[in-house]
Amino acid sequence: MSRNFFLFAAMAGLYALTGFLLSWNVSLSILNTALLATIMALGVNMQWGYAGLFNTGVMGFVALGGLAVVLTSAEPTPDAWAAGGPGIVFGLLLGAATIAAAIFAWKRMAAGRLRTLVLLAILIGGFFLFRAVFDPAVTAVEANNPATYGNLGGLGLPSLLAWPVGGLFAALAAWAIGKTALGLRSDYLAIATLGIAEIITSVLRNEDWLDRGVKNVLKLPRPWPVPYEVNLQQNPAFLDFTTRWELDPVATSTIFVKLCYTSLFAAVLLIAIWLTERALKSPWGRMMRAIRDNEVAAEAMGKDVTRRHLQVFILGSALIGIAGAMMTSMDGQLTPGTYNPLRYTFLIWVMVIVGGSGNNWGTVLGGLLIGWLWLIVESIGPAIMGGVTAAMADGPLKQHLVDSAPHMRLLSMGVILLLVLRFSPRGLIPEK
Amino acid sequence: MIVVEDLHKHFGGFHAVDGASIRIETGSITGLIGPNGAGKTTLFNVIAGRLKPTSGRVIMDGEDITGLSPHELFHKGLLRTFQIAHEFGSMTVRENLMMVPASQHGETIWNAVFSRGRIAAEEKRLREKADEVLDFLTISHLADQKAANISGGQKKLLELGRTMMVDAKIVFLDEVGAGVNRTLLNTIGDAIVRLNKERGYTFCVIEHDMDFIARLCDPVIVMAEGKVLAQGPVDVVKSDERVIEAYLGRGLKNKVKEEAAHA
Ligand SMILES: Nc1ncnc2c1ncn2[C@@H]1O[C@H](COP(=O)(O)OP(=O)(O)O)[C@@H](O)[C@H]1O
Ligand SMILES: [Mg+2]
Repeated sequence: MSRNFFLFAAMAGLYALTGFLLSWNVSLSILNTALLATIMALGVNMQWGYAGLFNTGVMGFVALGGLAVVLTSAEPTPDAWAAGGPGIVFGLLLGAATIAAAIFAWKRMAAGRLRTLVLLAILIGGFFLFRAVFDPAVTAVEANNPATYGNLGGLGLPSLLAWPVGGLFAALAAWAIGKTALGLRSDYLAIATLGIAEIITSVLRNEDWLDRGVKNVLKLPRPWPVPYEVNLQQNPAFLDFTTRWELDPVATSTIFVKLCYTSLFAAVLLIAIWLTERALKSPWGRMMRAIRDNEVAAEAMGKDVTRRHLQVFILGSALIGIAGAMMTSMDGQLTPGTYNPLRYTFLIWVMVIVGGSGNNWGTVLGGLLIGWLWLIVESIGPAIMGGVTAAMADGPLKQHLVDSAPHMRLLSMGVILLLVLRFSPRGLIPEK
Repeated sequence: MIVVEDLHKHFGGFHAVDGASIRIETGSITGLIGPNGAGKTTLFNVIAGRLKPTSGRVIMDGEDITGLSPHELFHKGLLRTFQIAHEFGSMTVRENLMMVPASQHGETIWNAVFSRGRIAAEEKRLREKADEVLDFLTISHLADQKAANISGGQKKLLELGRTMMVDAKIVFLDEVGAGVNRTLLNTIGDAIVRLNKERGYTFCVIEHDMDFIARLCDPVIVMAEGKVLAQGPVDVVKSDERVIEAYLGRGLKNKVKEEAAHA
C-alpha cells in the first residue's frame, strides 16, 4: 500500500518537475498523450492480464478509432458524394455480397469439384463486378478537388460522438479476428492481430477516397467542451480572469485547453477503471480468472471458453479503439503515416508489463510512467546528447551521436523493460 | 447410461484407444482399471469431449454425444475430474466451488456491473452451497486458502467437490486416489458412495488402488493397450487370465494364482 502510494507520488513528481523545470505546457502535453496510451494499455491489460490473449495489433485498433473520427466528424463533402458516393457504397456492398455468397456456397454445397468451381466463379465474377463499380467511383471521388478533399468526407457530427464509434469499429474488427483466430492455437491470435493491424494502417495510407491517405485529414473538430485558443483569448470572462491574476492570456489559453483535455481523458480513464474493476470483482470476473488459471478445467466446468475469450477480446479492443479516436480528435488531424507498431503496439505492451499485468492500477502507473519517459526523451534527449558530446571534437562520430539521439528512446525502453523484468518480473504493482 | 461403441483414438500411428466398447449403467459405480498407458485417460478425454475420436460413437441416454465440447456435456450433466489436478490456482478453494454452477446471473458482464443487488443474493446462496460441500468433504478449514497452496490430495477432493456444486448425472473420476493418503482416500470413497446413494450420481472411476476399487465398484472394466479386456464384477475380472497377464506380466501370474487359491 505505502509502496504503491510512493510509486504514484513519484510519478506525479515527475510531471510536476517537468512543469517547473521545462514548462507546464510540455508537462500537460505529455500527460494527455500518456493518459491516452494508458487507456489503450487498460484494453491490453483486459485481454492479456485477465484472459491471457496476446494482441500484437494494438496499432490497428488505434488506427480504426482514428478513422472513426474522420468518418463521423470531418466536414461533409457533398461534391464528392455526388461524384462517386453511391458508387463506392454500392461497390462495397457488392464486395460484401460476394463474400457472403461464397461463404453460403461453401457451407451449403457438398465438398467436391462442383463446389470448387462454383466458389471460383462467385469469387472471380464478384471481384470483377466489384472493381467495375468501385474503381470509377473512387477515381471520381479522388478527382474532386484533390488538394483539399479528394475523399468522401465525414458526417460532420460532434467529435465526442466519434469516440464510441471508434470503439464500435474496433469491436467489429475484433469480432471478425476473434471469430477466426480464437479457439485455435493461441499463437494464431498473435499472428492474426499483427497482420490485420498492418493491413488496416496500410489501407488508411493508401485509400485516398476514404481518408486522403498520406495527404492527411486536417481540421477535425475538437470534442465538446474543449474551446479553441483564439476564441478563448477573445472571451471577456477569460480575459477578466487573466488580468485579475496577472497572467499572459495567450500562454494561459493553451494551458487551459490542455487542462480541458486532461479532465476529459482522466474522466474516461476513471470510468473505464471503475467498470472493469466492478466487472472483475463479480461472478463474471471469477469466471474469467478461472478461464485464465486453467482453460481446460473451466471448459469442463461448463464455461464456454472460446465465447468468453471473444467477449473480452472485443471489449479490450473497443477500449483501445475509443482511445484511438480520442487521440485523433485531440490532434485535430488524422495522419495515417504516423501509425507505427513500435509506438502503438510495443510501447503499450511495455506499459502493461512494467506496470504489472493483471492489475489495473499497475497499468495506470506503467502507462503514465512510460508515457512520460517516452515523450520526455523526445524533448530533452537531443539536449542530453548535445551535453554528452560537447567535449568531443567535431567529426562524423559526434554528428552520428547527435543524430541518433531520437532513437535513444527505443533503447531506453528496452533497458527499462529488461530492468523491470529482472528485478520485479511481475511489474511494479503486481496482481494480488 | 453411457454406451461407448467401437471407439478409436489414434495419435499419429499410435492407437491409444483401439476399438473400445463399454457400457456404464445408470446408478452404478463402474471401475475402470488397467496398467499405465492402457488408454484409460484418453478414453475419458474422448467421452468428455476434450478429444475428438478417430472413429466410434458415445451415446448418453440414447442421445449421440460424440464430439460435443466439454462445456456442452457439462450442461447435459456429464462431469469429470482430472488425473493431474486442474485447480484454479489463483482463487480460493471456496471460489473454486462457487464458479461451477451454470448460468449464474452475475456471469453476464452487464449484470456484473449494473445488477449488484441480485448478484449479492445469488452469491450468498452459492457460498452456502460451497460451504456445505466443503463440510461434506471435511475440508471446511481450507475454504479461504488459495487453491494453488493446498496438497495434491486436497486438490483431488476439491475436484470431486466441484462436481457436487450442480446436479450431475454422471461423473468421471480420473485417478482420484493418486497421491492421496489412506485417510483422505477413505473420505473420498465415502463421499462417492454417499453421492451415489443420496443424489443418484453415476460414477466411472479410474483407480490403481485395488482395495478401493473392490470396495466401491461394480462392475469393473479392464483395459490394456487400448482395448477392453474384460468387464464384470470385481472377483470375476480379477481372476480373468488375460487381465492378470496384462496387469502383472507372465512372471507374476502364477504367484497371484497361488494367492487366490489360498484366499
Ligand atoms: N496427446 C497425446 N499424444 C500422443 N500420445 C498420447 C497422447 N495422450 C496419450 N498418449 C499416449 O496414449 C497412451 C495411453 O495414455 P493414457 O490414456 O494416458 O493411459 P492411462 O490413462 O491408461 O495410463 C500412452 O502411451 C500415452 O503416451
Ligand atoms: Mg491416466
